[in-house]
Amino acid sequence: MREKSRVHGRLLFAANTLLILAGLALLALAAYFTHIHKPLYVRGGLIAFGIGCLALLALRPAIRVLAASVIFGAFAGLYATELTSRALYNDDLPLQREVRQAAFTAGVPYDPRTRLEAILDYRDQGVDAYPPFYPYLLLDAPLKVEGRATIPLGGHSDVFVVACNEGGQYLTYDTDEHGFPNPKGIWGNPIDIAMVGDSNAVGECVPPPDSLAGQLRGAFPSTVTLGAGGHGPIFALASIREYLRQARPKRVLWIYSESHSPQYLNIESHSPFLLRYLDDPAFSQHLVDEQPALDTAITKYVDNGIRDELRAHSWRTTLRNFILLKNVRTLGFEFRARLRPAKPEEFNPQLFERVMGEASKEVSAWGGELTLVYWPDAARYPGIANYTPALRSRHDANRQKVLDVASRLGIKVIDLTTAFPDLPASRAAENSRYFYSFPAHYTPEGYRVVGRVILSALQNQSRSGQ
Amino acid sequence: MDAAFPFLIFSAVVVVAYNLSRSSAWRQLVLTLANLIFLATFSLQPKSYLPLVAFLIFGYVGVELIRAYGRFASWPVITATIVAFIWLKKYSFLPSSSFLHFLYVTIGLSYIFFRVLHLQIDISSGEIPEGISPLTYFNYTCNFATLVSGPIQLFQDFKAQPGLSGESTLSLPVILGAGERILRGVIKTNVLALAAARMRDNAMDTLLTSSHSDEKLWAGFLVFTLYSIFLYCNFSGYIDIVIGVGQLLGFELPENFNRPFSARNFLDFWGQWHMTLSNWLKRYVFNPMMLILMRRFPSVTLEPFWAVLAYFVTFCLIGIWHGQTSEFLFYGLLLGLGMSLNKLYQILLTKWLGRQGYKRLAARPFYRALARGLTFTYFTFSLVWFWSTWKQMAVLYSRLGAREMLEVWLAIFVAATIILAAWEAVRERLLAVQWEGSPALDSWYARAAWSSGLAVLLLGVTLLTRQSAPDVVYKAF
Repeated sequence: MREKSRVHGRLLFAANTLLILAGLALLALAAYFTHIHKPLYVRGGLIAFGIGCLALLALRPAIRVLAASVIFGAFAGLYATELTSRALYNDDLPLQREVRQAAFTAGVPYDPRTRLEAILDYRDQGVDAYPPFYPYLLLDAPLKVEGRATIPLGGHSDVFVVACNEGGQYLTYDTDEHGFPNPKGIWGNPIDIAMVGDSNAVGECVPPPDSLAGQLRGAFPSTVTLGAGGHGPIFALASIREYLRQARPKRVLWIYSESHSPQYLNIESHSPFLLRYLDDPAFSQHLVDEQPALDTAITKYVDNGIRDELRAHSWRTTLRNFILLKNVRTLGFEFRARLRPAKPEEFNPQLFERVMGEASKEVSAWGGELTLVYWPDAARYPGIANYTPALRSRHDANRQKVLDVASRLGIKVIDLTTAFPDLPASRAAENSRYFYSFPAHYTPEGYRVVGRVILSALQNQSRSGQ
Repeated sequence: MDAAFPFLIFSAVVVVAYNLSRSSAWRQLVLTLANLIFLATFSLQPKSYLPLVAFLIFGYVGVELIRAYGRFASWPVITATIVAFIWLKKYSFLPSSSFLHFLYVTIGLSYIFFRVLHLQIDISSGEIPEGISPLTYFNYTCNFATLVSGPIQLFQDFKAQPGLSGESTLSLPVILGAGERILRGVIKTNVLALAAARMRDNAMDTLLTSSHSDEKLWAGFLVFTLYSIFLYCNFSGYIDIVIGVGQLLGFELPENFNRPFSARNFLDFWGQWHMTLSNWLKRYVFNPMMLILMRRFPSVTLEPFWAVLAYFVTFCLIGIWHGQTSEFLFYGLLLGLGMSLNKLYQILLTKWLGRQGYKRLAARPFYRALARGLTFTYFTFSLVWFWSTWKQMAVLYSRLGAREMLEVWLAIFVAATIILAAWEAVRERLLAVQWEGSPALDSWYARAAWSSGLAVLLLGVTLLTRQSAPDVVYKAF
């Protein structure tokens, strides 16, 4: 009897402790959420639950123990959700599966390594490997280069870059003396064609010979790309001003990505630093001369990033994330985002026209010719990736605005939307040679089609010019 | 949203309507309407129900013929019922020109067949003396709760349900108990089966596309092992839901699973997995066959060996029942072989060691662990013919190769032995903790904690991951 009452006493003590701790923890969390301005319903809910836990202490012991059991179970359930969601939901997993499948279909051996693993493997073999450098990530916090705030437009020079894997193997390339994916020494010759734009101008993620620059070099050996992932129109204008004023290429191809350029333009328009390229034609960061200092700063920045990523995969961070229910919280954010979906990015034709007008003036000033290459989103074609009729009509409307801008400014256009057959969804499989089934860049065959169309248009332009 | 939730919503409406009155007539009416509405959800084409309705009518006429003419009618009626079932299920050994060439509803047909056959046999043997009204016949054979995948309830048990006679009322303990059972079921179908299926899909992709042998070995291990776990969670989870819904209607539906992976041999395994099917076959195939063999060849020495033969035939039939292709025939052969070899092993070992010696050996923890691991491995191996075709098997074999395939199965055996032994040990320890004279895990407090944990897990996984649970596998049979 005494033993039984002792066990009961212990259980009641544990229940009381749990209720007090849960109540105080919830109230403390509510106070913290007030401090970081979380919505009222979140704070209110926590306060109500916290006070509820403490109020339970006034009830009968059996009810207290039962309530504590429920709270304990709910808490354990949260951690079970964290564990299960890790097995069920992994942002990278669907993409990895798709890439693996695409590689299998194309008969390409699949490289299962993450980019970080691949980079570390290369480094183990003595290769100075780096991930690609994305200047747009510095828009809010420019890099300090010898004490000056700087936004580079390219990456670090003369390094080996491991970029991305969409077809089974990683795209790797060596960077030139300005940090772009071009053959070394190419800037020493007169440049025939220069390309500006985002990852499509880089050739992500196909083998370098299949990239647009790689193909154009067959007919125009002195072709360079100044592309970088995330570069929108203002970055493109900045690239022209920083790198092409001296090189004076005969032709500048402006790769306009239907999928991302409107969004990039909106982001760039909020960067006072970058807007200086638009507002002041004389503005320059003198990046060509600053490359050695840039290399040091970029190397430090990227190495810090690698260290952070390694830390993020350490058992300590994994444990910390588990304790703090990181996956559950992330999925919770996504759940709320799904309840209130973000509006699609609005295209700003006025700003675009201003940017293109400045670029056209700049190129004309040295006697060059600016050509706008309209690079269609794969998802504009029925049945491909995230295609929806609404997306298609938005793309069609924006495309017309872009073409109107080019027409008003007298800029030549190579419109690639007609390079691919516009088939109904029932025949989408016929387009799978050019596009992956998941949101990605074009397949090597897609790039080859684009290369042929552009090459033919340029050769026609050359003939008509002569 | 996947199949479990619409079924639960439908069941909730039926439970509320059913419990509005304790009148037997009212409950019959609600149950009949529920069964009709549930059947109506399978197809919008009235024509597609014709074969099923014809089979039901044929079954009922057969029941009445047997009641009227006794054993003279029973053999032709039972044979005709079996032939009709085989024809409707389009078994591949029949000429395809003989089949009906339009789409028709076959969901639940197998379970209806078992019930009809049971009625015909038991009426013939006098075990069901009372008359069966068409309404009772319909509610028994097409009960919405058990239509899709069982469990197979005997008519005698169905008739004795306190729910239908108006003797049962919903009380808080019943609601809580049923809720707990349903929650456990939904966790199995919508969380555990889903997780196993997703992980298996990924492993299958890896196995089919990877060029790294280590990766392929691990993927092969997961592909084979996870199917057993998936099937258990999917099927037993569905049965938990059905039994929980049955409790709310005052039905005591038979259990279909009893921790099958803790079984110490293949014979025990089939006494714990899909129990109502094994019991049905034991009642109507195994036992009569044993009786005939023992009568025809009376010999004490031969008697145990007849069991070996009877097990083989019975479990071959289980395999064949599952499907109409040669893969299922082979699946049946493997099950039959497993059961008969297990029985033969028991007979020979008992002869060699003596009854006590065999018992002592079987009680050894190491032997038990090995036997459990072997049982799991053999079941998982036989399931390959359940979930894949010969062509798919050839692809898997070509991806892995003979040596790697052997390594995978060895790894499954070792892992199953260790994990199941550890699981049993932990379970034993946990059950040893007592609270007020019974296991602490059965206390209200532990059950409240467990249920709230499962509820949070279910809510979290359903809302956050937005993944649909796979359909009930046994719906297809």
